[in-house]
Amino acid sequence: MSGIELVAELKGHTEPAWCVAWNPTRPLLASCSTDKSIRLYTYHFPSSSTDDTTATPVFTFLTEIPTAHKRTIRSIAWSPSGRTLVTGSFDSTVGIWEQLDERDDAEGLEPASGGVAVEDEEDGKGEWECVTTLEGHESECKSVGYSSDGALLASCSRDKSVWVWEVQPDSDFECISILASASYDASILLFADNPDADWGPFQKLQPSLPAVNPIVNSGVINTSDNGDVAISEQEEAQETGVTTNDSFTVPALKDPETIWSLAFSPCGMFLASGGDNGGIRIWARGGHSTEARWTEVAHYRAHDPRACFSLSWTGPLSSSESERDEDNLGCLASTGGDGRIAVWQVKKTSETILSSHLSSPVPKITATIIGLQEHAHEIHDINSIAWCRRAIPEDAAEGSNAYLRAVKAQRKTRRLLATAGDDGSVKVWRATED
Amino acid sequence: MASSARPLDNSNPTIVAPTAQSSSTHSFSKASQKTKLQRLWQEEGTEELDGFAVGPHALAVEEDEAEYIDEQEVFDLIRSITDPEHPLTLEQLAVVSAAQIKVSNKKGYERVLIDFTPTIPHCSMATLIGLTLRVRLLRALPPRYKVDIRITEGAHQSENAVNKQLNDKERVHAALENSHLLGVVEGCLATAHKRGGTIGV
Repeated sequence: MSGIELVAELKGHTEPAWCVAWNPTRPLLASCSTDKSIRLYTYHFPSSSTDDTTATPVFTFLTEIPTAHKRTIRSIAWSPSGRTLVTGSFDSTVGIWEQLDERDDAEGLEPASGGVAVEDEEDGKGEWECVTTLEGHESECKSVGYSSDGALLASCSRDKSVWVWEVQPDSDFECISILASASYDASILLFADNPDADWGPFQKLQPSLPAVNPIVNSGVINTSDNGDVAISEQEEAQETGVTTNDSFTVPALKDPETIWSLAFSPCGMFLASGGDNGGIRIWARGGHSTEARWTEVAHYRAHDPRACFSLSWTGPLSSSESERDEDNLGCLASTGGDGRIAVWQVKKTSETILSSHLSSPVPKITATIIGLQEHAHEIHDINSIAWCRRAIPEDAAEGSNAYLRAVKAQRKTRRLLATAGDDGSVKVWRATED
Repeated sequence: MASSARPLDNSNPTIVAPTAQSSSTHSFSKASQKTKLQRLWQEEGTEELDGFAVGPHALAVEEDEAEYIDEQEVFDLIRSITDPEHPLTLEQLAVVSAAQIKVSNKKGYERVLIDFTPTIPHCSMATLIGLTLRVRLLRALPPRYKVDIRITEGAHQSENAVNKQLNDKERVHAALENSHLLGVVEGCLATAHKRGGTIGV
């Protein structure tokens, strides 16, 4: 077993697919592509499936939004409410999409008869409309994302700037800050909202650790001799009958390395970054104060010699209470130009690191590969990976129907992963139980 | 042919293969586009035209599991590409050679690595030449081959920046969405099929 199984293959984009995003409150999955369209899929769990964690959802194509973007749609993101979809395009604009005549909130609706909470397949079918287009970037918009409370939207671009937009009523967005960086895609800059002033640079992260081979769970790779697999060399040399030189090394691009992806841990105290050389670095924050700085705590080989294009970090997958200890930092999923998907179990260790710029020590961490799928989109690069992270609405009272529905949806979808590749397809995977 | 206000980067390049073309025909109108092209590739996005969505595998040859390639075949694909600045091929200008190509046919990990040597260290056309090489191989090689392109070490003053740009898939995709830039690439590629034959006038 590989720790990962294929659940659905969703073809449709005629050009490379760049990004996938799960709706946090509704059974919807969105993807975007160089073909300038958004594709929406819905999913439901067949009523015969009773076991929450092994139930296999069925995916159905819902609609294609052609969009008016003139070039590649590089990035999409849902608002935390699940009502708004945002697109970032190489045409330098950001599109805001909402559903016309959205029906009254599904919240409070009784589940379909039969006692099984069948999620509404019609959800999301209504027409999606571009309610506004945000202009301002001077060149390709590369990524968009909401703050966790949905109050702010950020967009970034090759013009080296990040625009922070305040979400106002009636689909109005006001740019409240423009964060400019002097250098291009070479470093990780953290910005902070200073309540007394404005958004400003907080810390520039300096990579320092050498890459080490990850620990791979036995059972994930059967060629493992000693548990410590040289992950970039694990493939067996195959007899091709060709006498050309098959063993040359592609020289790494000179430092500084391009950073392709970032993902915060669910607890917010850790950050993972993926770069052009294929490694994954983990950074930890030294304490909870607003002044607390970050430092690098791990660096693993993951997708080298190709780039690590995407990361997604979710909470612990296991439902058993014993696994829910505070050292368990959840699961990180990574993918990249090598076509590989890796699922990493991240844990704190008892060891700590204290460096000069930290006011308090940070824990060392270990990341173990518990799921591995090679050539997940056959020969193609994989550009995006995302865990399904269904949210429990803050306004749902504990024990209410809405609350119970959300808890159930969360439990059933926790192990689902989606990927998007250069073949234009979206695939849905599930991390299997140990 | 309008004469160029800007001089060529290298008005007297060394030619390594015989050619019927005399060097006096250098009043290539492309030289006048130089500044514009540089701007397009480095900060393009000002001009928008649809209809050039060229996917990476649009013209790829049909995949054949048994098929493998070698360095000479890759060289044949790129040797007759026209230099953006001179009516000469990349082979004639010694920008590319078979010895600067490496191919791995290892199943599941097929790769091609190309080094190219700009004629002079400050050649402003280096990124355009690299992009043209990339487009040619995207179209002509089976899609399972991943291509890396590098400037020969020490051959260009902005070697690192150019290498980063040429191997950044986002930037390559974005560049190919620019119809003007793509048009120039197509111009360079018009002779690519000759596989070593001289460029006729």
